[in-house]
Amino acid sequence: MMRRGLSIRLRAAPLALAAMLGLACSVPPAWAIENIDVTNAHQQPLPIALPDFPGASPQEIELGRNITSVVSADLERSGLFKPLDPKSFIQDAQSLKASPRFGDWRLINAQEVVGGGVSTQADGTLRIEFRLWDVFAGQQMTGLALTVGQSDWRRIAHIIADEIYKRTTGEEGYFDSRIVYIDESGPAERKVKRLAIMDQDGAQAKILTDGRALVLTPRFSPTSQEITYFSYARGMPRVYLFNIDTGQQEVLGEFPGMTYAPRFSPDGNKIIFSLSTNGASEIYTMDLHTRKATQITQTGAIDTSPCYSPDSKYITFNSDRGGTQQIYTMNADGSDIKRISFGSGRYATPVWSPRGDLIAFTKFEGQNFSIGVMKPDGSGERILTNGFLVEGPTWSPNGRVLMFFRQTQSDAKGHGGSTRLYSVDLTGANEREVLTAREASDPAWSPLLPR
Amino acid sequence: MHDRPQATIRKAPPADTRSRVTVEPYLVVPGAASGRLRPPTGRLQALRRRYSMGPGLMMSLALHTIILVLLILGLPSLFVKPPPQEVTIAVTMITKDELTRTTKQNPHPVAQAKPVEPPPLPDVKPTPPLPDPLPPPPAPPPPKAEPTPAPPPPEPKPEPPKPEPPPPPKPEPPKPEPAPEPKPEPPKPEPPPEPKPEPKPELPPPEPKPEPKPEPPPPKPEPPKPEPKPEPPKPEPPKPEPPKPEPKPEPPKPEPPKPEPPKPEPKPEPPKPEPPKPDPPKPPPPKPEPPKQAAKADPQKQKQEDNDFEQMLKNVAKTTPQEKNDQPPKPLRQAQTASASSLPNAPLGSRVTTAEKDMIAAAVSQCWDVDAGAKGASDLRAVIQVEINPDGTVRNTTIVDTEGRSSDPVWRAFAERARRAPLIAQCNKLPIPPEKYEELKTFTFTFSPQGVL
Repeated sequence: MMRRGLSIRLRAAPLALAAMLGLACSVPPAWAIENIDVTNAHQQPLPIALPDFPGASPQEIELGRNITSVVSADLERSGLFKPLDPKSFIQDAQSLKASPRFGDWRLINAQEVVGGGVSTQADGTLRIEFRLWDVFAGQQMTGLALTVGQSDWRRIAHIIADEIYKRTTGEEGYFDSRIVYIDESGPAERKVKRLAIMDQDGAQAKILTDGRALVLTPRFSPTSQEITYFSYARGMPRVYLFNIDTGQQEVLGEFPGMTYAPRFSPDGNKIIFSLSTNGASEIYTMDLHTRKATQITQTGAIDTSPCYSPDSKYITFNSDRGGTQQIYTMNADGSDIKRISFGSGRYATPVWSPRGDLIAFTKFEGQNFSIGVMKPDGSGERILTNGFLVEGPTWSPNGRVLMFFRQTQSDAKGHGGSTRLYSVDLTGANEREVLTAREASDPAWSPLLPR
Repeated sequence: MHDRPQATIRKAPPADTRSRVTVEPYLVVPGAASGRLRPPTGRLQALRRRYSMGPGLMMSLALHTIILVLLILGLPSLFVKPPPQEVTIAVTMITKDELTRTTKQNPHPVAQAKPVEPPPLPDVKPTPPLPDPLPPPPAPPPPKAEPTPAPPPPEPKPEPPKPEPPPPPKPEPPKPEPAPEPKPEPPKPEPPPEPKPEPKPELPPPEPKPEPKPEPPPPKPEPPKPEPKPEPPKPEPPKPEPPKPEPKPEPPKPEPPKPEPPKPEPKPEPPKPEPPKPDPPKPPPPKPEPPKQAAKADPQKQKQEDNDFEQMLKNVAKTTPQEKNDQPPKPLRQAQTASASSLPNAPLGSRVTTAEKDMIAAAVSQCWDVDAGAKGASDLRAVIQVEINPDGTVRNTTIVDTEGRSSDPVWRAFAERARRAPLIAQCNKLPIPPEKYEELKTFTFTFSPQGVL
């Protein structure tokens, strides 16, 4: 039996080899195929078609139009998408909802097309569904069905924009987020500064404080439900906490000196800030549960603008301990302090990217201000924008966009200067003004809103 | 006092002269007693006897010496002839080879010979002409290379030869070695020439040449005939020759002939006497050689005089016994031809040149957009397989996940954008040379952005 089995195997071996050889010969080996390297890439926005979401009733049609408009604006403002003119569309939105005619969309050079619809459910809520199609592959890339109250349609639009952004770029979007900032009003010599909040696109702005006390440097908590900021609310410059839902605010501890430059830790359990006493500023942290403060630096110099890394292991801050204002990094416990900025001029307001790969900063050189980024080790410094006064960078939730404020120069009499919010992407090529009702400064970007 | 002894001494010499005869001692003894000098008769007789015996010995000695001299001188005289033969052979072989090398491809062979050879092989494989060469498969690819050397005059010609060798992929690498092989098999080299013409047809320039060859036979152009006769397939080599003279007046002619003639001419030439003697073109070296060999192959010399190629063939024929000398040059020629085919814009026929690839890449890069702000964008790399229609339009593209990153959303997004690039209308028609369609009907793009964040 053994021999028979062996002989059968021996007979089969040549056949198997022949079959394998035949198979190998029938399929051209990979190495036999010519390869052409392409390295010269361009940075052009992706053409995308966004027909208005159709609806059965005029209200649904209106909502569909509004939603599409917000989605289109979000994508266009990112600089990565180029929404096509609806007048060029060949296929109507209603038939698109059933099945896209990819040939028609290729004719207008659309690479992606979004189809969807709006319907009102029995309980009065809106059901919004959408599908993202790859025109060249002829395949659906993603699709969602969302149910929301009619008043929250804007948020649904941002969520849809985030889904499209995520599927197209591979990274999380940043459209379903909010901005807290300082609303400025009144004459230059007596400006009223109030805490305000809005959607990242400038919509739905809301004033949080009455303006009787100066407020500066607001920062979102990781949950986006709280804001920490600096205020003279009670005559003494202090760090405050503000609860967005309840509207309550409280002083963050009692210290012998001025506390300022607060920022939440990534986990939201701590606030890191500066305490100024006897002409020196040191960095402290406070546990929000125990209210216990811990001193991090002890140099006698001015150490301020502390910011945690996304993993909470490191802290970046600026200090004049070396004679000029420069950016440093250290471990979360204050050890292993390293200077990372070595360019000409002074550096301030370091902010660690949510991605962890970059640190944004404000740079003062000569009479010029600029905003740039560098790697955590100080290499790869790049200036993204500059001007008479640009300051206060804040990262979008996905670390792809920076928002900051820009102040224009006033005339000899002190008139004409204004302060506005702007955003710029990491390439520095897509800078946009964030429209606000009044002047605005000190923006702080929230994380993506919890769904 | 002093004078006497001197005087006596002076007298001594005459006595000495006698003593030389060996008689003096005897004479002195008796004579001294008497005070006179007179020759003793008995001894004279003895001396005579001795003298009579001396001539015999002398004669014998002389005869022996003569014999010895004859023997000594006779031996070398017997070998006197060979030297001239050696001289002629060695001189002719070396000088011609060197001349051919210098005139043909002095610059190219040196630098390209070795490095170039390897590339041509791959080129050949892809070449469609392979089927054509197959018929002549005579197998010996190296010999082919040799005949091909004839094409060297025009650089493009050498290229075609390369494609030919490729058909037998393996033989090519050995090219350097083939040199020895070709000689042993003169016929084999002939077949190779045929394949060469085939590849040439593929390439625009080479094609015309192969065609002329068939034609020449009827008209019987002098140069072509000799070559075609050796071997019908070989006609190709002759063709290359005619063109050569045009581009390269003198140097090319001598060079090409050597490689080819060795095999084909030796046989055909003798039968064909060619009156015309355009030898003048040949450099001085060739002339000296023919005279030396004249004794052996005078008729051949006349034929050779007609064409440089013929002369080269004669030299080769004469030297055939000394294949070793001839072979070295052959390999060089092969290497040269190979190198020529590997030249940048050379009509390799099979391989896609760098310039062509650059043009295709430039065409598609116009439609390739990247998300420069993506994390690690500069490290992203995507391989896209492309299927091309005969008219150069892109029919289909497929993402090839060579790095197992399909689960990485950033990479997937990057790859999807790369996959779309060749499908976009503005970039859908790629500048693919029609003759390269077989090689490019399916290929891959490797997209890897440079200069991004």
